[in-house]
Amino acid sequence: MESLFEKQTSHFLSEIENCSNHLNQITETLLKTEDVDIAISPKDLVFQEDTMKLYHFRPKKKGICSVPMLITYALVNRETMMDLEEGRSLISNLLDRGLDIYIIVWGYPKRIDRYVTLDDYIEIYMDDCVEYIRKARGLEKINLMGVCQGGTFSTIYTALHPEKIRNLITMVTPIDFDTDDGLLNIWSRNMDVDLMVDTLGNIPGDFMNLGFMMLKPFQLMMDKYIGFVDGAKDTARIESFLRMEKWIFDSPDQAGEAFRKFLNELFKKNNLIKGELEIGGKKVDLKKIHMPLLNIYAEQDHLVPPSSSKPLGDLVSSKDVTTKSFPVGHIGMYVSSKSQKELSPTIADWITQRSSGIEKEKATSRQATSTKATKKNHPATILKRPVKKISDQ
Amino acid sequence: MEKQEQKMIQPWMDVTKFWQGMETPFAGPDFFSKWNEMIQETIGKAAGQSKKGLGSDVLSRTMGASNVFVALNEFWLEALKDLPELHRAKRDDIKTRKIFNRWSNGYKKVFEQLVGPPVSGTAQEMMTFWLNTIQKSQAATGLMWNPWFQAIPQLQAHVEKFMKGDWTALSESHSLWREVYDETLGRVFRMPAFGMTKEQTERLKRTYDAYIQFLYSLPNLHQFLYSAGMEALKEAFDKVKKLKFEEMTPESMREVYKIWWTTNEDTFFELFKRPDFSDAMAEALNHGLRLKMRLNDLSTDWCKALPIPSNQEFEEVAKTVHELRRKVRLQQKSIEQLQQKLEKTP
Repeated sequence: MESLFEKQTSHFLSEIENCSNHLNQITETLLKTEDVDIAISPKDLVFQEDTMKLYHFRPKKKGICSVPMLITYALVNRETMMDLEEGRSLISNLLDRGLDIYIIVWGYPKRIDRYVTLDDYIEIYMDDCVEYIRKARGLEKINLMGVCQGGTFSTIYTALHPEKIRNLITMVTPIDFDTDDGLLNIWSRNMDVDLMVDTLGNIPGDFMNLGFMMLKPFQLMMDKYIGFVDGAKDTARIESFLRMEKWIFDSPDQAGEAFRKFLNELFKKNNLIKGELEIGGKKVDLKKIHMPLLNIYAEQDHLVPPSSSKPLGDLVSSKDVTTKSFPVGHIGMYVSSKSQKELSPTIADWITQRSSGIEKEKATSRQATSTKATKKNHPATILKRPVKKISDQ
Repeated sequence: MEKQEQKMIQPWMDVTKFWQGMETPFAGPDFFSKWNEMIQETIGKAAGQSKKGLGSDVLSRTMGASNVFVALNEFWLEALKDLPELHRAKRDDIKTRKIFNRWSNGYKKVFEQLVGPPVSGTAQEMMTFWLNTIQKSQAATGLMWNPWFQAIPQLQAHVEKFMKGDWTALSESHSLWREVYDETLGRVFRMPAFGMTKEQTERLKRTYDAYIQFLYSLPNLHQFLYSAGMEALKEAFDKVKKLKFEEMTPESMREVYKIWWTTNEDTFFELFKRPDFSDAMAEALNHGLRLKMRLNDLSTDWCKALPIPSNQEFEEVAKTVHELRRKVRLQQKSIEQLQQKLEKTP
């Protein structure tokens, strides 16, 4: 019969053997790796303005949903999270289901962009992208999906231009900032944002990342890497981990003035839901959002708590409001296996059902656009710096 | 078992010699670190030759995290040896306290290693900057304390309290010190200067004042972090007490690790939610920013003679470029509107 010593020694040796094998595998793979690809779905650059770029994903199926959807991601981190790798790509799943997708890529603000404001992002860059798509597709209205901070932008944009948006989708979107459920909401109350922007200019991406890691310091700074050694059984898993790492540390700086307004007006004063936020000289009235709304939030979101996202449905005047939650965290919304199975069908089915009858609208739209331009002396579309089609992948 | 031993034991023979024949494999306190040193040496050599990039970055982060894991394992190996005694001393408060103190001292060493290695290069720099600043502040404080001790008799009592392990004394003594500083040396730093070098002197004195304010905002923040760390340890200690030493396996060692990090995560989460922590963090951040602003002013002044634009000048250019971009956009829109009008005119 094995003694306690023998039993423990046996366990111990096999543990060391496993760990050594994993470390060898990791080392071998990592030393061969200089980079890994993310953002896998083929797309074309169709429009560009300053650091902002508008891409059109190459459709996989045609004729299922004829109203294109514009995706607006946050200024924090990058939109590549939604298209991380084969098998973990919300974009790819939506393309599989016949959606026609455009995406805004905000780029990396440099020192020269320090004075770019929230108004510029929403009223100039976003609006120019919407205008580009409307003109290119001959449509009066398009579908808009905003993710995280991009969801807040999309909500504001839709309230300012309801005539251009057919359906609005918000994902893990902060709307009510006056909540004690999120550490970012609590911490930002005491932050002297003016001092920060006046001193630093643009807010460094690494500073933002450090703040995000502090939300779960032991998990994000340590256990994640220990788990990596433990689970590194093959090259595919190691590369998958590398892709997440690449995304996490790919953090653009935040344009100073836009950061100032977002923190002061939204995080500190909660002016969006009070109806006191002004963008481009106009008050943002959420009641002007009357089109169908799909509001999606993550039940275990530590960055944007559900209490911040959920109220949107009650603040708009839309009669067709769907609020849907998933039992995942903020990042899990894009990459977890559960959301891979359920999220894209939810979005695709919802939007396809509400985008029918478009051919009829297209015709009236063209007519309406020309009438509008003549009567109100207002051009329907202004296309800046049209860009030749460039293949990005 | 034999095959496994043959396969594994030879390369590790030198390292494992010291615990062979002992009652339990958990008896070797530095087994993990020796093993880790060997791994690090081998992998480190290979990593040193690799090209810079994502792979190399992640490797160093992983190695950093594995260092922490090793330190933790060693701590737990030591701590687990106490489990039988702890079990026997269940109702003996003095003995339990003694064991806890032993754990607590070992834990402090581990805690010191936690900040830094597993994060990105820049984040690491930011953290080490803070840690270096604290170390420097401690060194500077040592030089500065004596005159203050003589001038503020109450400080002595606070320091004695702190030496006995009462961390609130640290915060109290810093508040007292700052109060006295503000009324004495602080006034000297903030008073107007005169003469030829008036502006330079004032700039320098303001920077020094900002530096002092920043240094003394840090201990308050660290007191929160330290207290939470110790609170988490006590909680983890209580949870681990329930484990049975005789049934300890590598799997349950992982369970111990899981208890440790999840308990810490929860405790720190509760701390981070507290408004007083948020105040302390904001205070330290704001003082840090004010210091940065003063340093920017100083460097601008010092670089005046060089043929390079200052931050302020660059900011002006950025602002002008932004305004010009807006103007161009508006004019472009007007031109296009006019063009459309013209096209529609018969």
